[in-house]
Amino acid sequence: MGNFDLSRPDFTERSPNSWWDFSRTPEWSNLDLDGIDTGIDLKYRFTRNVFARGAYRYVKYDDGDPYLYDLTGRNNLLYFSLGYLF
Amino acid sequence: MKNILIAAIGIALLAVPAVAQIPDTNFEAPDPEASTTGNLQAGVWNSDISGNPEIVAPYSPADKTGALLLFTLKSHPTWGKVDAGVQWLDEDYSRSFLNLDIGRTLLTRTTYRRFTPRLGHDPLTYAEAVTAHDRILRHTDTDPDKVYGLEDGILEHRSELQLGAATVGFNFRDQRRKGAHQTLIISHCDNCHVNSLTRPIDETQQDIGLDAKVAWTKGFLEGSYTKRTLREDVTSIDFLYDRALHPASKLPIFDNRVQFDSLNGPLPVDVRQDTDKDIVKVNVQQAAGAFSLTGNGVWSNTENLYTNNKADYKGYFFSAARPFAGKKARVRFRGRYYETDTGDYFFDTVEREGVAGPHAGKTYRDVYGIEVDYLRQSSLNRKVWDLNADVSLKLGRKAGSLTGSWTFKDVNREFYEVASGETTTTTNILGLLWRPRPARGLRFNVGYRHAWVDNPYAVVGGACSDQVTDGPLASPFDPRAAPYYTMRDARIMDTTALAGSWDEVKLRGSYSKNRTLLTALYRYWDGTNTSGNLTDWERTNQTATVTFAWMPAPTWDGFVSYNYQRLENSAPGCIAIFDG
Repeated sequence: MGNFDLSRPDFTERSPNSWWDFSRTPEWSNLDLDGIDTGIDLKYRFTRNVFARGAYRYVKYDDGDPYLYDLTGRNNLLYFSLGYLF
Repeated sequence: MKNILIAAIGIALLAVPAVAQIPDTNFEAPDPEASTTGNLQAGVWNSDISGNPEIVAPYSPADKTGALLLFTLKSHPTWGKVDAGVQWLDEDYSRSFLNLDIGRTLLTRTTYRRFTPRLGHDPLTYAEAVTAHDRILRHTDTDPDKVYGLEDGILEHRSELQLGAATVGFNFRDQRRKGAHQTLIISHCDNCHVNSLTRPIDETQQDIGLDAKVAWTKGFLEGSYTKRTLREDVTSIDFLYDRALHPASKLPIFDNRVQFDSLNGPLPVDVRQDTDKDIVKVNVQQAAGAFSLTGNGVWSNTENLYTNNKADYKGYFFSAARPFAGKKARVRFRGRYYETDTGDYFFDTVEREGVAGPHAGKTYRDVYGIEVDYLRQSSLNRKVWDLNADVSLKLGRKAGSLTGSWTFKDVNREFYEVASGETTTTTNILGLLWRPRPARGLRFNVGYRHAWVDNPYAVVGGACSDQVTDGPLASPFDPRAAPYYTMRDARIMDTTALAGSWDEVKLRGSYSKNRTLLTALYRYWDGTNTSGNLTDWERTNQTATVTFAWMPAPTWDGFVSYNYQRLENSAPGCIAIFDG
């Protein structure tokens, strides 16, 4: 999408006559955000009561059109644990 | 504001899966008949962050390695039941609960959660500009390396005494938030000087409540009273504003343009007030023939202890449902009405006098003849109707069911205009949901909704002034130049983030066979707003989630999940500088 037009047709024609710079006034404010949150979680039982568990999680966030500052980030998470059921 | 919106949307997009995918404690006990069963896990975890952690780890510890501990216990002693658990990932991220059932007479539930909300740090790099007349926008970040955030702890408890048909309950909730956030303060008016300060947060919110319930064969009546208090240990911070200078001459002669400056010494800023709130609820349910009827009422009073301003809330809810066509169909109606009333507040402006030039000895009111005191009236004052009706029809074993719904919402504001002369927003939503089950283990949900909104919430004249100074003029301070307030009054864009119409498609499916389960969800939402002046924008949001869980062998089980979010928005905007 492009810039919009202000309602008064002579707006931009008139503004250069002053010292004010209105050239960036009519702009578009965009959001372009992508997010992925994916993972795998596995559990293996050695016995009826004892098991091991491992998990991986990947979180991705893309701020495609940063405004004040960039929120793009990645988070790689790993989990490993030993468990006992009683 | 846009950055806050981005952060809020991002957290909303990712927060739910972020919480859900941390390894949980949902293991089956090996012997459900045993009197005591449990699960103990101990291990390690690691988070590796690149880029900004605000969205990808909004509440949890990140970019570190730590120990994890998971423990659950279920026991059935002769005197009742015990259900307890702990999930610990970090000293600032843990959950625990303890539920007791003593002789089926006294039931208690207690939970405690700790987490760390991350708060943004705006670097203010955009706040640097200068005009041809040496008008300056600048910033000072007094704590540029500070990472803002909170340590949040929530304790919740409920004790319930069951005495036959009557139940008496005691509720307690305590939330403590400690940390710091970024505060932005603007000094003027020789230049716009944005100051970034670290503002400590140390607040406690407590709810203490009692409730009682009486049940009979076809219904019940319950009532509750809750007292809520919010206390701030740090009520404000001090800030020394810049001296008010004439923008062109840089001389300290602009005293009547501001209410305070450095001559007043350090002043309290970012004042956070203590608040008290009383809440009364009554809830009744009764079966009458084929109808199931429900009604409730909520009354609350909130008082700001800093200004003594008060807000009243009254809300009522009613629902009725009944089957028909031999229980192959059901009709349901739900209605809600509420109104809020916040008292007016008179803003008594400090009127200083000019010290030199033509303004000497004159206030701003004297020079321009405008009323600078004003009565602030609440934009929250409103009367709201929220009505929902739906009809469900069972089509058959494989064809499933079909539900049609209608939602009507009418928000009638007392003061606030959302369009020229209009204070009412009306929303209608029509929906259709089909839930077939075409084969054993296979289920689908197919839903579509369309909404249209008359006068969606907007800030009328919120941006983009088309005030044009007749010229050419050598300086905006030329007496022929328009004053700031007329430039502000000439703003023509109605700003809004709410759609005037939107469509939503939701597809959900699941397939299970043997020891595998596949679920998928897709949501498409598209909204537009063309109702206001220069509000033409469109926003599209897509969500897809796929989860595959399986147990390939008795010793193995696991799951894989994938969640994708995408949001696109295009909206016009203006960056307003020196418009008052």
